[in-house]
Amino acid sequence: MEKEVKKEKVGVQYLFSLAGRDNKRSLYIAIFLSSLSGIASFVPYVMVFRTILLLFQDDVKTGKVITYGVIAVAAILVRFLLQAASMAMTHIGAYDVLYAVRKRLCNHIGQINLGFYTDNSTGEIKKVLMEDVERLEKFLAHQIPDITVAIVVPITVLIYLFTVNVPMSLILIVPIILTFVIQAVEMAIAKPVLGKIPKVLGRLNSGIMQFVNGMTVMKTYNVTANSYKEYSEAVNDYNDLWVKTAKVLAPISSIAKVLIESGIFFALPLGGYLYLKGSLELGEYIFFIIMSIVFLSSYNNILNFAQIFSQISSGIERVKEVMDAEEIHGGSQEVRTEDGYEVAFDKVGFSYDNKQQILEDVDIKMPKGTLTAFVGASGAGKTTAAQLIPRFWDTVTGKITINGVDIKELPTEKLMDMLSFVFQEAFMLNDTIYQNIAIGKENAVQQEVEEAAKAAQIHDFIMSLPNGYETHLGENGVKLSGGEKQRICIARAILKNAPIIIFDEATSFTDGENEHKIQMALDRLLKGKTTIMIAHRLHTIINADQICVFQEGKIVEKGTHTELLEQQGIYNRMWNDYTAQE
Amino acid sequence: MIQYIKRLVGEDAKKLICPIALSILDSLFNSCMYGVMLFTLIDLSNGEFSGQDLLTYTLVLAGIFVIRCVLQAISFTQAQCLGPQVSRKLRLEVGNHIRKLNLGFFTKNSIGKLNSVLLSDISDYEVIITHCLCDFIKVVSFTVMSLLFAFVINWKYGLVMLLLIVLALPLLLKSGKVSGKKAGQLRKTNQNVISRLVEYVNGIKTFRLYNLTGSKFARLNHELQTLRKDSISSEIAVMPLALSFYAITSLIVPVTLIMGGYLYAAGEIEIVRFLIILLLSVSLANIMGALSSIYPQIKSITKASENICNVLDEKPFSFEEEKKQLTSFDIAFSKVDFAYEKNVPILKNVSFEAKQGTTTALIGPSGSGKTTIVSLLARFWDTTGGTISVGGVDIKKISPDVLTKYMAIVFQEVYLLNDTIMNNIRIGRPEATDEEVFEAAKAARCHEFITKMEKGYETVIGEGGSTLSGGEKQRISIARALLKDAPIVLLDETTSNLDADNEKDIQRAFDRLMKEKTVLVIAHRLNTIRNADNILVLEKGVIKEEGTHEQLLAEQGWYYGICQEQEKAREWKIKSDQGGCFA
Repeated sequence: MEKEVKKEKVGVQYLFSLAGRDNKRSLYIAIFLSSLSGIASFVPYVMVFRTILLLFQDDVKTGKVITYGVIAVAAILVRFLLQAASMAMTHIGAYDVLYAVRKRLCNHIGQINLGFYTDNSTGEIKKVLMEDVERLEKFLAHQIPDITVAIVVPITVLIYLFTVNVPMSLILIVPIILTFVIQAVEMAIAKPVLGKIPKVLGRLNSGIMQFVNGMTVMKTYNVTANSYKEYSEAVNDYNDLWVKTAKVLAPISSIAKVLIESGIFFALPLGGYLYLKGSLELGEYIFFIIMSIVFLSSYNNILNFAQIFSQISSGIERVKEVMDAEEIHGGSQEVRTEDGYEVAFDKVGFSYDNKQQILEDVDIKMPKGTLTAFVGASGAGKTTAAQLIPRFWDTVTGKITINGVDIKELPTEKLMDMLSFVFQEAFMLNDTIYQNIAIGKENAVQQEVEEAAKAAQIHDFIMSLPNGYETHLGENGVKLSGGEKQRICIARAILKNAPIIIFDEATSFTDGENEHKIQMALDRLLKGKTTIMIAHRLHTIINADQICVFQEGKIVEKGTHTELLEQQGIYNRMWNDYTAQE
Repeated sequence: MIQYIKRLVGEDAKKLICPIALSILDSLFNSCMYGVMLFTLIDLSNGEFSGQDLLTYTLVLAGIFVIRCVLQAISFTQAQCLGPQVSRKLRLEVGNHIRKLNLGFFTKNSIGKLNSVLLSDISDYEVIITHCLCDFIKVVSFTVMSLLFAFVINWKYGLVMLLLIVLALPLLLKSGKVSGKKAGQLRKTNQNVISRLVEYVNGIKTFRLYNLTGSKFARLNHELQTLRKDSISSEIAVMPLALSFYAITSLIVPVTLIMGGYLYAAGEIEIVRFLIILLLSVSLANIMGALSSIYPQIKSITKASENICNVLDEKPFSFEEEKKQLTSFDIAFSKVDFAYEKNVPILKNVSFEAKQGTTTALIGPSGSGKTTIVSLLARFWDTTGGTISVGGVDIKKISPDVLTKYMAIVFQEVYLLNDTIMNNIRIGRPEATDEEVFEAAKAARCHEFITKMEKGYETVIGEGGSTLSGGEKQRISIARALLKDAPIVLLDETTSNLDADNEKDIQRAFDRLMKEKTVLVIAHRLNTIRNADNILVLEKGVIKEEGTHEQLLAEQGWYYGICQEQEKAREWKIKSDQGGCFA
């Protein structure tokens, strides 16, 4: 138990370390206000007590009763004003914290090793950032104030009650203690089950996402919600887990619920006994009977505390897991530019999992302004090698340098500024065409965007659309062909005008007419740049300055087209296969 | 609220009766506790309270306590168990329902919305059953009993209590309305954040290259800020209303003090009744507090139920005969029109025939309607005009599930399930043996790379197949289609991300798939086009040219032009005749 408390404290502290100090302070103020408001809420009951005492005196002064009533009204007003202020503050504070945490998370996942995205599905990332973080709101805006009020107010009220009668005050605490014991029992029982919740929820999340996203497959292969195991099993597991939990926990927590409503069961007998014994005044007895109704009601809010709290801490843990994923750190070196950039691989070795070697001993020198082509079968390592340059992954052994400087020593932003990477799978923002090109350069003006589009041979196409550059892409917008998308990506890269370009050639597109346009766009993009081309159609790279042939993670041949043909090796065989096909 | 519960809970509604009845019973026993209190007060103020009375009252209280524990345990456990069961049922029901909708639904309603209906809305709805419903009923029945009792004590007092509550009630109702409305807004904001987040994750490489990660990615940051603002404003909008309701009903206690004082002074009530109404006021004010926190919750959850119902209300495809089977597979499009949105026609008056066992190649610029033709044949959408028939039967007359049974479809965008490779292929024919799966994989040229993997066919692939290359994914989807061995093959040949040597394998796999079938292919390879029995050239939704390769070349039209272009593209070399390119 002790160990557990300690661990959770770390969780909450961790949360605050993410959120920042300001939010913590406003939360403290809010808690203070809501405690005051909680105390004020008892004033009317004290007035009721006073009235009862008055009733048992012989001459009842109506005027006094009315004064008590007015005091009670005032107390109620104060109470709700304080509560409103406190609630506003906690909610604003809580959502500020949520925003801060989310922002930190987004920043972080932008900096980490891309391996993270292979290990975590989009659904899981979404769950952490949205649902797990959202749960913190309940904790910050409701649970923290609730629990403070539930501790501070009864203590204050108890002090007052003690001045009235000690044993009666003590008996009111009994149900509270019992409830806490029950909560502790619940916690202990629930611990192993609740630990499974994030996993089960994660599966449910990804099952649903897949079912919806893969709808075309579900339809064509007659896969139903019941027969798709990822979905139906996740749904069933979720159900089973909760039913199992409910069967054990619900009866126990029911007792706690009844206990909280049964203060009278404790106050009445003891009070009666003391009254008959003569050590409790009549008015006091009646007062305690009334107090037994309300004294415990503030505990209603924390009945689910155990359950909710452990959900929250597992959420915090998930957040922490993501935050703990290692960031790629840049250095502070600078690259000296002597009108050009030279890229070199120096004995580079790489592996995703430290088991299967993906690259081994890769040595390449790519002088300024030259074109280097990577060729080889799929899985040979050419794409991986190219992706090491923008540090999507880091080399395991060896290093990659730009003008002699290890890329790990460069500030990440500076490194990215030097690179353009045109992917096979063109990524489009769910936004206008204009925005899709403009992200290439900060503060790009309209003219620059259009010029880039013209150079990428896509301007005319864009102008042929009814809304031109303001055409919206994405779910409800225009659908572009692969070739059009790629030309937009090229326009983006032209706008960026980075000195080093990595181009992952797409093998083919549906429309012949597109293809030649891409080629013309490419000519413009590559002009004067140090270029790495991951090539699939060998005829395009006949004039490359050097061709690196990849096989099983190693460079097995290196040279110009003619040199390699003369070697009569692997490249020669590939070329023969290729030309036979065409 | 009640109608949603009835509708969504369905046959399980009967199971709810028991926990609800028990809750009402429980609140009755709760009132009994107050009854005991009352008798004690009467005895006390009459000075007749004895040890014997004390013993009786204590025993009665103990009895009530035990009974309440039992009642609560049963009803709470039942409700807690029923909730997850209902959400399980709903998830399967909604899941199966959306399967029957046309694919248009999936673009119109962003996928994020469906995800949140299936996940959060159903979970929210579950809370109604596990918590809110019984609590709400308890609160209401307790309030009614207390008010009745107040009238019995003194009708004037009862009236004042009733007035106070009635006066405050509009505030509560309003808070419910506002909270429901705000919840709807917030949901929208949440969806926007999610779609931005998904965009961020999917484009992470691009964002990194353009130094747009983290707070520099203003689009995501902006949505996160909006979420923060909207979350706060939705809380702040509801709070004053709910709190004022609570504040006014809290006045019940002081009003009772003042009114009781007057009534007592006027001799209308004696001490005992004064005490009783004091007690009553305290418990009434208390229960109103509970109501003020339950009600807005119920309201916002009702919104969730509405969302679920909206999805269930979407009409699935209609068809006439559930069991009708097809025997021949001639395909005919007759004057087919189609538009995704009104006034934006995608296909206009498209008519063609494809005899059983022939290959029809669809070519044309992107956006010309090739994919639409294939999708219409699989009935992912319904035509807006004209008919499509297979083997002489209008496809609208047969069940979509039966129709797709006869079709093997290979898309350009391959979606693989997050499951083993074995299961991903076997989805083509669930009853296939391992041997048959291997056969299909061999024919689709993926056996080799699969067996090279550490766990072979038992390798689990990531969501959407993210751990495989584009070519590998495509070949697995071909194996899937081969295993299905359906008489009609719909094929999108576009191979946008394959390596040269991959391509050769894929082409062989395609050829194997198309063998002896009725094929409709969005063609890209010259080979396929040349060998097709019929080529349809589409432009802007209209069939512009139709015929065999030779016929079309002879026409010297669009097709002829494209063949020329392709020659030009093939001769292009980087750094060739572009003077000074790398100089």
